[in-house]
Amino acid sequence: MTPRRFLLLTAGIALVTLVLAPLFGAQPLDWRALFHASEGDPAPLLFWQVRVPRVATGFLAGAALAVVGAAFQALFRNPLATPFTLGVSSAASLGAALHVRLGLAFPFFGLPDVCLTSFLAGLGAILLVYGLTRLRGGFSTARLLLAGVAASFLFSSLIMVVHYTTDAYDAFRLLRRLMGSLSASGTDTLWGLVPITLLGAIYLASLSWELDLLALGEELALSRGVDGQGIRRRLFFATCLMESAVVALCGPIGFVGLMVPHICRLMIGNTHRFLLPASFLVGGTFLTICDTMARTLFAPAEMPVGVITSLLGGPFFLWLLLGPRSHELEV
Amino acid sequence: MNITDNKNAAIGNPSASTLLPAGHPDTPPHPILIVEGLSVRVGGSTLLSDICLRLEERERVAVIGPNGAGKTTLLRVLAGFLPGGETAVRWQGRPLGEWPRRDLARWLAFVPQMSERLPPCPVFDFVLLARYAHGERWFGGADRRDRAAAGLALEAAGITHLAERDLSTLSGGERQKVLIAAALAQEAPVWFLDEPAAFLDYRQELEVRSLLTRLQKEAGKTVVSVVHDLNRGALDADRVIALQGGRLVFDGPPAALADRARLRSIFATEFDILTHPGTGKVLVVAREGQP
Repeated sequence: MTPRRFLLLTAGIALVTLVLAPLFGAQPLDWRALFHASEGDPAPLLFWQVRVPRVATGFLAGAALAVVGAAFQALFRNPLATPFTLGVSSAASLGAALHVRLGLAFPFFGLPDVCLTSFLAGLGAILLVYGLTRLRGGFSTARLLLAGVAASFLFSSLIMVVHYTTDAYDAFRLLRRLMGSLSASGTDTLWGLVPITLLGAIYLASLSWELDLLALGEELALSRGVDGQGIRRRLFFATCLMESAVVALCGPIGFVGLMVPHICRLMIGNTHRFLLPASFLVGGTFLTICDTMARTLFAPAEMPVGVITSLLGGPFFLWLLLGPRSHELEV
Repeated sequence: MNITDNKNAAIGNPSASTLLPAGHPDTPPHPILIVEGLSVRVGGSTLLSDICLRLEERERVAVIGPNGAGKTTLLRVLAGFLPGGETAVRWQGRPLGEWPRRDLARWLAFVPQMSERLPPCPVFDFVLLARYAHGERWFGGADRRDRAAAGLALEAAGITHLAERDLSTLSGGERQKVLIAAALAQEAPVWFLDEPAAFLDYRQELEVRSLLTRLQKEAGKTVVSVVHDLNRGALDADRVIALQGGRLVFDGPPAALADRARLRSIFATEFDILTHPGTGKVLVVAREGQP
């Protein structure tokens, strides 16, 4: 399939998914009710105030995670690099955990304050990892990776400590958060996510040529004129900001950032000019579908969407890894 | 054998005649690259020590020396891939540290060792990516000029038929030609090559070397290559630079290098110097059984 045709196809599927997904849920909605609502019918309110923001949030979160994943794989030249590799998401989760544990509460422009604490923790981790990497001068990806992984383990164990010392009710809330879920998303979270995701994705797409060259290797990239350290730094901050925002609003939703870029690579190759938009569309669609399943499969109970993405993603990824096209699975 | 004597003899007398391209007898030598007192230390070890050299336009220079002498390091520092040359290295009179990478890439193309891992990528796309330095382009799109340049480069390297293939499916010689085509597409007048003929079989090596010679003549490139085997690419260069333990121990015409004492001092090995009975070309052969 040519990249352009693949983009058209995925854009079509994304559109259909976005239109249909809000109609599904614990309580099925009849689309006709949206236009001919009788007085006092909750359907339009449910649709516009609850379902649409949630579906849009899911789409943007999935899109952001997939785009960040694609950029990470090129930046580290490592097919296993994911948005969670550098510890930013565990820091954001730790922020949320501390917020719940300490019972913090401060209003901020309508954004849920737990999200804000989480986002700030993510920012802190970005600066910490960046500082650690810069300690010995330069900005090397190997050191970035090691510092990030070390920080990630540290934050994860701190989450355990917080979790261990919380009472049962908060511990349950915390656990639900750590599984990644879109259930808390409303119009406010959506408006928090829109600018950072769209601007971030556009910014990363504007660095497509640099990403192509970085994926070829440090020396070739430098020799073609890529300002290695500067571009890596910009990529690091852009991707980590996007990731902090997503994790702060939706929790750590796994596998989208690892799997979606690889699927797109298999379909259209490694050219980031096509790979990034394709990852955006496929990632958004995938998470939207997963979230729709999360809302409907065990209705009225709701599964954390992170569980579904991993349940679907794990086997599929193994199939990719061991299947007939596994030799193409390389960054 | 006294190394310093060699050094003075060779460096103190950079014979100007070898620096001039054959077709331009009146062109005054114009150094594109000046290196003065370049030393590079990493940790406690000295990789390069007090290197001084000049590079003139359209020269073909071979860099030789034993393993670990700093040949590749020198190329990388001159190209700015490794730190250390910010002030000691001047391209076009401008210190290396002041060059934006993109501007330098319009002057200098680097052909890395072929053994480097490359991800799957179609040959044409790979060559097209080398056009990066030519202008800011919106959202990573190459324009018609870039496609034309990439096509021409493939044609000049004689590998138009490989355009649709993937890098990972090519033989060593084909890959090397693709790397050379990419350097052509980059349109830089100076080329650095790191052992361009290493790991190639006889035929592929001859093909790659004759391609390089032809391109150098046609396009008027200045070429600096690290060479491992003196008979393949060093003795037919315009000028040879020898490194040993991070020091520059010889800089002069290849004829002056084909000297047993000098070779022994560089490689710590006895050499025989032969003349090819057919072509009259000088060959050097390490003497077996006498390390």
